[in-house]
Amino acid sequence: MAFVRLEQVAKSFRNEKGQSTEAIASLDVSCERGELLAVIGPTGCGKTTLLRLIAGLITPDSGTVTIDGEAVRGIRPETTLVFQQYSLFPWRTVLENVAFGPEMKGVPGSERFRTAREYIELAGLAGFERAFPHELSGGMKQRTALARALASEPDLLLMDEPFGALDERTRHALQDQLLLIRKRRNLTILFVTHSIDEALYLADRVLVMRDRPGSVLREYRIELKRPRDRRSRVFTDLHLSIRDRLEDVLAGSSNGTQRSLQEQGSCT
Amino acid sequence: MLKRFFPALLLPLLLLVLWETAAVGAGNPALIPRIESVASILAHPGGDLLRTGTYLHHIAVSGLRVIIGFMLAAAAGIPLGLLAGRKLLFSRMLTPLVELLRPLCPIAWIPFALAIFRTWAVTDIFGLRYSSSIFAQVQLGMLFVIFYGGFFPIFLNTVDGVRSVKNIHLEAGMLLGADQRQLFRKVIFPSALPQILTGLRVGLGICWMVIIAAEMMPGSDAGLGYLIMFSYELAEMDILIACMILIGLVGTLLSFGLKKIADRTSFWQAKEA
Ligand SMILES: Nc1ncnc2c1ncn2[C@@H]1O[C@H](COP(=O)(O)OP(=O)(O)O)[C@@H](O)[C@H]1O
Ligand SMILES: [Mg+2]
Repeated sequence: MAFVRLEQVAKSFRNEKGQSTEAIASLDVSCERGELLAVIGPTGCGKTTLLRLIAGLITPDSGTVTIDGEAVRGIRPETTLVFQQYSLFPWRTVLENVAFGPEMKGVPGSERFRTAREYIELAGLAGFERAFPHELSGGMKQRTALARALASEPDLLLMDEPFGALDERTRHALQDQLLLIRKRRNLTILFVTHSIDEALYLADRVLVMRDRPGSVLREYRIELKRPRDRRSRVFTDLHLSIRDRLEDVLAGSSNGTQRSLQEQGSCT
Repeated sequence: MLKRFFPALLLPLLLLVLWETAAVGAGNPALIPRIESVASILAHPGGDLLRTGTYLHHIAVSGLRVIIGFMLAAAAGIPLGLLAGRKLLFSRMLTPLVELLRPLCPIAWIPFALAIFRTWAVTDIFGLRYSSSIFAQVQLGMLFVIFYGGFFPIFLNTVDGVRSVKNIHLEAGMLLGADQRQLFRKVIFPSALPQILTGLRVGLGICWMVIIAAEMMPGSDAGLGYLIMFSYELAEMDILIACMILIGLVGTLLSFGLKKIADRTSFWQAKEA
């Protein structure tokens, strides 16, 4: 049985005027233990909503979300989320930010700082322990957020476009770092991105979502060996194929919708 | 250096020149005293003024009243503000009363406070009726109006600080394992702290203004406000002006001190965008 499983999940939001928008509908997602699953789709297709449902920050209107066989009811201590926006505590240093998780568990000072230093090192932040978030570059901030998430020792790591705001070089460096970390820890990772390249470089499997309402359009199993060569033929072919899929979604014709549903059916 | 300080000093120097010219022109120290006589009062902190004690003594009395009243205001304003900022029920209970009382200037309460509390001092509560300690100068009525002046800015800024805690910080805290108590102590409070300190600074400034007014009322026999009124009655303009300068200086110092403390704890706020 899949580690993370969403079955026929639907979620609507009501705005101030009382109008309701269907963020996601009849969404089925499953993710195996230890898998790195990338989710890609146009802005507003419900990627963040999907992660927030799994994190237990919001509850679905209908359908079920289970992790490790148990229905998600509120926040689960072993799940954590790296946010799309900067979420570091600005009044804490890098070290204190990373030590936050252990601190909440009551780990005594010296020990939690030791743990924090380990993850700071792992995230490539050594030497920045005493810096405050406002003194860091965007890349450093996201490294800290990653280290902070890892220091709380999750088994499920949700990442919401964590490298979206970074320049390409930094992004590539952080992608390699993430793969390295995953190799060392027994982690299941759900990685939301709007970059096809990123999804193909990182993931074992890629889900392509469509919007209005959000649901899974197609899935790709990526069996390329790591480290992956972005210029290889298979990589570029897959890139093109996913891009076409996304362009169909953006064209947004009802007939595209129809086709996508068929494709989804044939794929699973 | 000169380039930096000259513009700042220009207007004060001009003011002093005007003052001295006016003083010499008027030729009446009971109307406009010479700068020298005011400066000489300020230069002798040990000098007894009008047989009421030194100005340091009066500053100590005013300062003690303000500090006690201010601490009471903070002790009430911060916890109530934290509660009202977090719990809708408390906010609903407190907001109407606060909005009703807040526009009422604390100085308007002085006669009321005098009528209710007479000239009772804090020492009277502890049964030390004829105590000669400085606490015998701390009248309950004055504490009441200082408390009143300090409470609202402290309370309202605390509420606002708590309410403007970023949702993403709350969620990050919860996802990293914070329970409700930890969330309050480790996320909400530090996040609201800069604004709580702003409230304290504004509150302290108001307390200092209120105490001077309160000390001008009958029944008071010490403090800078008392001394300024007494020197007016005796037409001692040099002491009166010296008092004004001291009131301004102490007020500036208080505000500056709290700002220094606030800057050290809020350094992250301006840079957070
Ligand atoms: N809290 C909310 N209130 C109202 N609408 C929301 C809320 N969260 C998301 N939505 C809406 O749901 C849809 C999906 O949003 P989101 O999950 O953030 O998409 P994505 O992360 O893929 O860009 C969007 O149309 C968005 O406007
Ligand atoms: Mg999003």
